[in-house]
Amino acid sequence: MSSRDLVIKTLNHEPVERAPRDLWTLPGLSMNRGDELERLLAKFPTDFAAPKARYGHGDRDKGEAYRIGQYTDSWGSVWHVAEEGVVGEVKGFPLQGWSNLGSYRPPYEVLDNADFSVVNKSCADTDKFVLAGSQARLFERLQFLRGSENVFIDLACGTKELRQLIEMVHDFEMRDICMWAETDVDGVSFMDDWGAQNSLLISPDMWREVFKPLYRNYCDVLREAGKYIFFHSDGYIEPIYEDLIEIGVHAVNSQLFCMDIEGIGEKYRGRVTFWGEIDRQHLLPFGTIDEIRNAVRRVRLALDRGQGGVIAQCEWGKHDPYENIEAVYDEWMEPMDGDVTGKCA
Amino acid sequence: MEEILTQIALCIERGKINLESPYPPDMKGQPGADELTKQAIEQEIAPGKILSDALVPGMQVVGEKFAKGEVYIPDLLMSAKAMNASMEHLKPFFESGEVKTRGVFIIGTVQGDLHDIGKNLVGMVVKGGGWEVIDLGVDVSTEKFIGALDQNPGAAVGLSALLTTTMPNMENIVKSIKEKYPDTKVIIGGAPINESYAEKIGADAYYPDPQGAVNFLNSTV
Ligand code: B12
Repeated sequence: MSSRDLVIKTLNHEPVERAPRDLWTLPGLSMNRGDELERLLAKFPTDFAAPKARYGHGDRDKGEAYRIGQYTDSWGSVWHVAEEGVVGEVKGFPLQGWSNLGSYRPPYEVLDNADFSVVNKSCADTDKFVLAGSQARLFERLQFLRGSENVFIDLACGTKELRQLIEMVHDFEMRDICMWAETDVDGVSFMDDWGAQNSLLISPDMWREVFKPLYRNYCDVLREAGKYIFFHSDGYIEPIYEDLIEIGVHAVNSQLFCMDIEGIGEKYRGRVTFWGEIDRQHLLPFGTIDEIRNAVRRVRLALDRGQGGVIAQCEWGKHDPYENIEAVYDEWMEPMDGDVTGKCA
Repeated sequence: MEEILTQIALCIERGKINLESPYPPDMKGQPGADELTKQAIEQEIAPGKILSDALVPGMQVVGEKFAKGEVYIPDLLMSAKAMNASMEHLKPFFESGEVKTRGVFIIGTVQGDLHDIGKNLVGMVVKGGGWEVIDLGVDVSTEKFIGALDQNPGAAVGLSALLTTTMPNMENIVKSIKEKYPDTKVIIGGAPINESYAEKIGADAYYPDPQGAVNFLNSTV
């Protein structure tokens, strides 16, 4: 079976002979540990590919991301990077005060000058599942433009300026999503970090009122075009899982290990595909091989049970030992043993 | 307790800053912490009483609700803003020495780590608990913490870390602080931290939320 078929069957909750593999790496990894990355991929090739595409150069772009120093992104946010291979933090917020809002314009040149001409060919040339990472990250974009604290306060007060900014960012993101919807990619992803360790950053009610309808717009366009929809959020997001399913997200990547994995399995197994993951806070950097293997078994028992619906994904952090990442994918290849209805240790 | 103090406490709990503020919607058009604190001072209520009987309890209620997951970051930030509006009126009395804080709390995110949303919230709630807060910012080195203690002997210290890769830096900081100032109370927090880690590195306490920090600090004075 081709990688593409394997992923599609998984997304449709059909039994598969093995879980499809996806690997994420933080930028610091490919910068410094390219050999190890190659070794792992040779042993466990992934079932996903990115389309060949290039976004246009932003008029505000200056400097290089992930390199020590300072760079400006296409929205005008100024990032300070203190450590090689890390995103860093925004120190210059283009819309910290509202005085520039009237003249502010999203970087449409990035979309206008995007080169998508070989996207369809790159999809045709591979039998992997082609997943496009869209630019959509509405809540985070607001924070990079305004500063997190300001955004939280804007949300509490429901300011008209925030509504105007949200509309502007959403319009940009819709255009990007529509561009992908017109291509032959198999799936499109979008993201936003909604969780702290034990709770959502904003109330589920506020999320539903302000952000859910906009996410629904993304999903409607992509569903209409027959694309599979992938969504990522860090942190504890259990309270919005049901909403994500309702608006049509097919696969969710979240920090399973901050949440009740077994409870999530009970509620959502068979209704959404779990796009990973394995704990990247404690286990991947510091866990023993046995602990890692147990964690994979726990995820399989809770979410997969041999019926599909899980993508074997993890994120390889800058300092995580090679052996730990290898153990993740190796364990996913083991036959499911034991009592699949019981909880694992 | 005077009615006006109860009203101020409510404004702080609900995040009602001043008359103009549209938040919370059900208090629209009513005076906020700003106007009411000014009035309380005009009525010659002792500023220390305004602090202890209005600001501190108001902030405590919202801090506890946040810890229980009943309110979220936007609510807590609005409460902190309301508290700051009150504090502005109390400032001259702090400066003259008529009102005293409970003590000094130095807080920072440890070296290598830039996450500051949680650290800022802890600072705000501790301030609302009647403490003077010195915020050293993010990516703070051991030397900087020690330097701040040199200038503020007797202060308590809070360390925040959000990355498991920067968490180990807490150990060095705690060790250095305890070497030079053995009596200094050091509390730690942040997403990957737990109680057993605090114990392991010799910190005095771990709390998952800001109100825990306030309660602990209050228990030390
Ligand atoms: C928002 C966020 C960011 C924002 C930060 C914005 C800012 N100004 O702070 C940005 C996008 C910049 C960011 C960057 C990065 N991040 Co980040 N981030 C998060 C996220 C989603 C939420 C953190 C947050 O703000 N929570 C809200 C606040 C209110 O909660 P809190 O900080 O936990 O604080 C509360 C308590 O912990 C406690 N507390 C906190 N401090 C203290 C101190 C004391 C004394 C006490 C008593 C209590 C206490 O009280 C607070 C209120 O209740 C977390 C996910 C998570 N699980 O937490 C990831 C997370 C922490 N980030 C992570 C990573 C990997 C990164 C990057 C390395 C990513 C990269 N590709 O480069 C960079 C690191 C940059 C650096 N050197 O620091 C990982 C860490 C993994 C690990 N190994 O530990 C996490 C867990 C996400 C993940 N699953 O991968 N991040």
